[in-house]
Amino acid sequence: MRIECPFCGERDHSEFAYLGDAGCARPAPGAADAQARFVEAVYLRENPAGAHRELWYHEFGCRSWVQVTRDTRTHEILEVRLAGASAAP
Amino acid sequence: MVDSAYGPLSPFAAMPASAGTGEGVVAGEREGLGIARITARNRQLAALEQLVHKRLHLALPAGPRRMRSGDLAAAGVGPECWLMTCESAGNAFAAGLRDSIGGHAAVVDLSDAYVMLRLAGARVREALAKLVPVDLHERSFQVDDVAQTVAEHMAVTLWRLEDTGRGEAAFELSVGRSFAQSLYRAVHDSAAEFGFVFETR
Amino acid sequence: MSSHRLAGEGAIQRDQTLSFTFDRRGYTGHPGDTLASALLASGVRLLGRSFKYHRPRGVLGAGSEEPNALVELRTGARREPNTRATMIELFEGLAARSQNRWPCLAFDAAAVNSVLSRLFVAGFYYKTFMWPAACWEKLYEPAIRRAAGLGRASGEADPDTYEKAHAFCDLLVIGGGPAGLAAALTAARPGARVILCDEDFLLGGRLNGDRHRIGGESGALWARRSEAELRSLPEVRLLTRTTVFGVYDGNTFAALERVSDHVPVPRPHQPRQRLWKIVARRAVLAAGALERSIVFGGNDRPGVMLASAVRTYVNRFRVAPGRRIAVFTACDDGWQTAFDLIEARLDVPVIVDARRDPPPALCAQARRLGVRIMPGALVFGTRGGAGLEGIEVRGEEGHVSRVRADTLAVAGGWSPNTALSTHLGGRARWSEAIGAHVPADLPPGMIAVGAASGELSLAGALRTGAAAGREAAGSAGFDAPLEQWRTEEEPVGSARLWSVPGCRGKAFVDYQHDVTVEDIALAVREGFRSAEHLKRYTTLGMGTDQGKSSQLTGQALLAALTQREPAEVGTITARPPYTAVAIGALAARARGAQFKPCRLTPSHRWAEERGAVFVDAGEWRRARWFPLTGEADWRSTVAREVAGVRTGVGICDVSTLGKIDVQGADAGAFLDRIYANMISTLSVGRARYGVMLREDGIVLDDGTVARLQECHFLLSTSTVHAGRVMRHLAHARQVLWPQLDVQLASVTEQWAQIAIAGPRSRELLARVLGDALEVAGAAFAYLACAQFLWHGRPARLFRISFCGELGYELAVPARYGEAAVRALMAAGGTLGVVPYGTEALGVMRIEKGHAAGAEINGTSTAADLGLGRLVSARKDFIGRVLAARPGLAAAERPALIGLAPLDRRARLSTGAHLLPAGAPATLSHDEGFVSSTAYSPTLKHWIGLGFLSRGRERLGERMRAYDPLRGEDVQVEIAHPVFYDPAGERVRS
Repeated sequence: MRIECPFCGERDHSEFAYLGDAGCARPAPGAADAQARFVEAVYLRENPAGAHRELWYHEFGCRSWVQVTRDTRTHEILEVRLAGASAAP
Repeated sequence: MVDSAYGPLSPFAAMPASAGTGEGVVAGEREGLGIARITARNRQLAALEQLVHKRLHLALPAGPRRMRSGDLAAAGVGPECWLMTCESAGNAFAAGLRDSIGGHAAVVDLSDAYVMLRLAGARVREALAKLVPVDLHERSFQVDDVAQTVAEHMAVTLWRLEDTGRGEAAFELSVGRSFAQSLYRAVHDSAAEFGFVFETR
Repeated sequence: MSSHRLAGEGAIQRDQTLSFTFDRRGYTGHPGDTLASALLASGVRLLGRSFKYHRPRGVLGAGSEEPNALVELRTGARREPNTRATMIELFEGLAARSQNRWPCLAFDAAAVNSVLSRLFVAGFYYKTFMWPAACWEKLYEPAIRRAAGLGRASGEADPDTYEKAHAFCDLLVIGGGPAGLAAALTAARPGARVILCDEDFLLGGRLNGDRHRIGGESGALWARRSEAELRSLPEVRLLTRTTVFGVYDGNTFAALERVSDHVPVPRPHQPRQRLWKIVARRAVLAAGALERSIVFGGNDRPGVMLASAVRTYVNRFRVAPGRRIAVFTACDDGWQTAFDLIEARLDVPVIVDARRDPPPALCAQARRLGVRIMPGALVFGTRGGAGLEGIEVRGEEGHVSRVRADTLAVAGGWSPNTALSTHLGGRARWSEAIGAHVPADLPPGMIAVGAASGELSLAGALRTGAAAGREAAGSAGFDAPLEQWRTEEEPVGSARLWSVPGCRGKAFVDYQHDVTVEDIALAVREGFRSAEHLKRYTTLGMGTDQGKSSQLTGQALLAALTQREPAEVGTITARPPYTAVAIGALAARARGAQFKPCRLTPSHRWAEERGAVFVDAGEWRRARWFPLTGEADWRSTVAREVAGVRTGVGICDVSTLGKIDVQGADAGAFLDRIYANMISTLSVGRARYGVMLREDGIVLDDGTVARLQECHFLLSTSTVHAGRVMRHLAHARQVLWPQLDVQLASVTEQWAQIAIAGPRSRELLARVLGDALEVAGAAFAYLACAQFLWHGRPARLFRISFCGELGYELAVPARYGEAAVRALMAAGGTLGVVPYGTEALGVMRIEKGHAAGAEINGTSTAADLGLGRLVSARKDFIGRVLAARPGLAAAERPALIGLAPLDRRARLSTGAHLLPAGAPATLSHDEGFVSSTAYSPTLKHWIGLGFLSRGRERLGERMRAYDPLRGEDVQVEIAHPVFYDPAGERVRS
């Protein structure tokens, strides 16, 4: 699999470290139900058959966290962008 | 006070200096460089670019490219982040940069963090193809292009220099200092079939 | 001896002779021969014994799909089993041996398996070796191991080297036959970057084995000229002897180049094999088609060969596989074999064509050449011993005739070589037109051309190849004219005959795994319906050849037996590798000392000089201890090093600890969110111990945080977690809180860091630092830090201690690390300074009850480790919310404790379970475990750290430390984890 790093260009996936579902934003820590929300954010993952937004870290490249949209059925990569740019909920 | 006994030591001193026959790949260590990593402070990119341009006469590249101006060069190694080098300046380079642009960027001295090999020769691309998973074809990886990638599980930074006087490709390849001997071994073995020579001054 | 060699050119160099041995007998051949062609030229037809029945086997084909002619190649450490004689390029001195036979090839004791064959039916293993289970280890497994497997591994270390290489191109052409050459030429002429791989050592594919003509010249000559042209183009790389064996996501391909397999010993600095990882914008699958055999009685007898292979041996190698060669065909293509044989003045006694009405033109040509033809007839049996002597034919009206023949060329039609088209999960599609599967649902960027796509004619191959080459060049921005080549019409090979009914003798579908038509029938009777299940139950296609010549036939038979069409049965999904790949090639240089890179500390050379014993810790190689002559063992060395530190001063290179530079206006606020304890309150010039959690509340790592300036911090991490912590911080900065002004940089490699510890460490430091920094008296208090210049270079000093003594860590630029160590040793001579290694460091940290990797193990919380008091309640941080979960805050959680044996002479082992004294050793009594142990030279007995449920309430309790793995059972007393100086007075002194 090859991932088009927004900074470095197209690279083999072995340069990247995988984290997982990019949809799990960190919940507000002060909320009344914070513990339940954190359990959901930390442990519950979407696992769609199809397009999936996920976080990868270009560890052997520019050390950017990138958000990859990948089709889990074909490994086709539909979009890659710097993760920070989309971090705001 | 600089004590002569308190001196730097090359990690390559005890390594085999050549392999095979011929000079398909000629290597040499780049010593004494001042190396600093500079990272723009939040929302200071434009100001930093202006300042660097004004004080150092250098345009910071936007992507994985290298810009040079005299003894100075800046290589893009990440978003809003550069590896700057200065010939023969050593640890003093980062200190000077901090004074000069530290308001707009974090400046970190990495002069000792890397060892850097200059690799040139008629077969250098073939040898590098055994090391790095990056397309180094002259059309794909041009002079002053920069790549951070992996060679035998080691994080490496690579950039292309102007071709040599003999029209042969030339690169600089750097790796974390603790990996120096492992990288040297990998370069040595990859280049051996083309003839490998390590030049010491 | 070369009585089977024909006159004429071919593709061998007759002016040179090569000597080789097979089963220790000497033979000769020529450059350009394969081992198979050279043996056939010498009249050798029996090459091995089959896997299950030990039946005699010879050469079936002429390519990589060969199921039968497997031999052991080379001798000694280079001996390699299961090499295909059809793929081995002959070299001077080659030594090969037949395999799977005992005591010798001509007479094999296990051939009796053939007599007992009713036992060896499909599912034999599943049915026979089921019970009693006790028989497995003693009886079944040894018996199977003796009987199973082909060939013998050398059992010695491989003396050769292997390497990997990366390549990138606009177009990867897989296969160098006419279609592949056409694609490569078309794309390369305007300048596209082309890589062409072919597993043969000669480009041309069927052009070398057939007598085609292209544009007025012979196909073989056209191939030579095309190759020369491609070689002249700067952007073309021709990789012969190279098999593309895998297709991966992202247009990535794996190929194995057999760099030195065709020479006795690799040339200097050359690998035996090279593994290519190729990234190609486009790929052209021009892997050709594989001819099928036909299933009939005795179809495995040496002398029964594929018709195309017979042509190849005659035309390319100028070898007559036999004297009297009958042809059994189910398609037009088989006739071409007969014509080629006659052209070579060989005797063709009969053409048996299963079809009632072969094309009149072919019949006319055969009659003109004087060959007997039997349309509508079937070969149903063979005669002979270890070699074919005759065939039995049933004519159209059922009459049986016998024909004397020493070779039978079988043409069962062609199957496109679709394997690489299905590596990403695509399925091949059944083509009624050619009676075989063709690629469909190809990987992105791949185009199938020529015979691989079902275009079985030469004209079709050239046309589709050129079109694909043009498309590929276009996608890379090169405008390529569509090349055209003139060809003649030829017979092609689509056929539908899978097996002959009413056979005499065993009729094989899969030669290599001895799967017969009966086995398939049995599987169907037992209810198997899917091609994948049939494969697993009968082992059809599970040999080293992966059933290249047999898979489709087996599926077609399955279809017929279950009254379905082949399209309904479908086919299996081929997966990488296409042909067998040596593990050595996959490992490449990563073996032995070069298995992984090794990180050396700045003082490594000095430590070597001192005779240090090293240990590999993660990526790093660190000094473990520094033995002195006369020391009895490592324990006394370590005891001396510990005593040296505890009573005097010692130094240790701790540069391996991770160091991360954190800057920015929000650096303090950022670190408050990273660490469980408060960081922003730290004063400039001070350091603090910090612990960071994962978001799930478990401890990630610990270390010190030093505030160098208001907006400049330096973190240390444990050696093994350095990379993980950097990734964690980058995630926090880039993903969680991009709005904070924080800049991160790893500076692990920049600084050599040397621990100077012991009551006399201050004295030593004062000597070496001189005026550079004042450390005397109270000038540099516990947890102080400073940046200064030393010898005109930047330096940093931290008053921190891992071993519990007065201690410092001095940081200097990494290049000067060795010089700094030498300076400390020189200045410390009169203080009795001792260098100490990781073992002494480990002993001292256990004496001090400091948690390390064995305790920060991915399951422990800050509270478990006794660090609960550090956790701030005044702020949010990563892991805060989930650390408060009931399960992580429960009172019965395991807590870090110390332990010591009641019998002070007893030793303790890591991993022992903690059980209540007197309780039986059952899981329900398991209340904790021992995580770290050491002999404490300070306390003069063994001590340990461990986790015990409610441990802090149980100090003084006596328990069992039970270790069933080592057979140890020690009475221990639970103690406070800090054995040494619990008040911490020494570090502050």
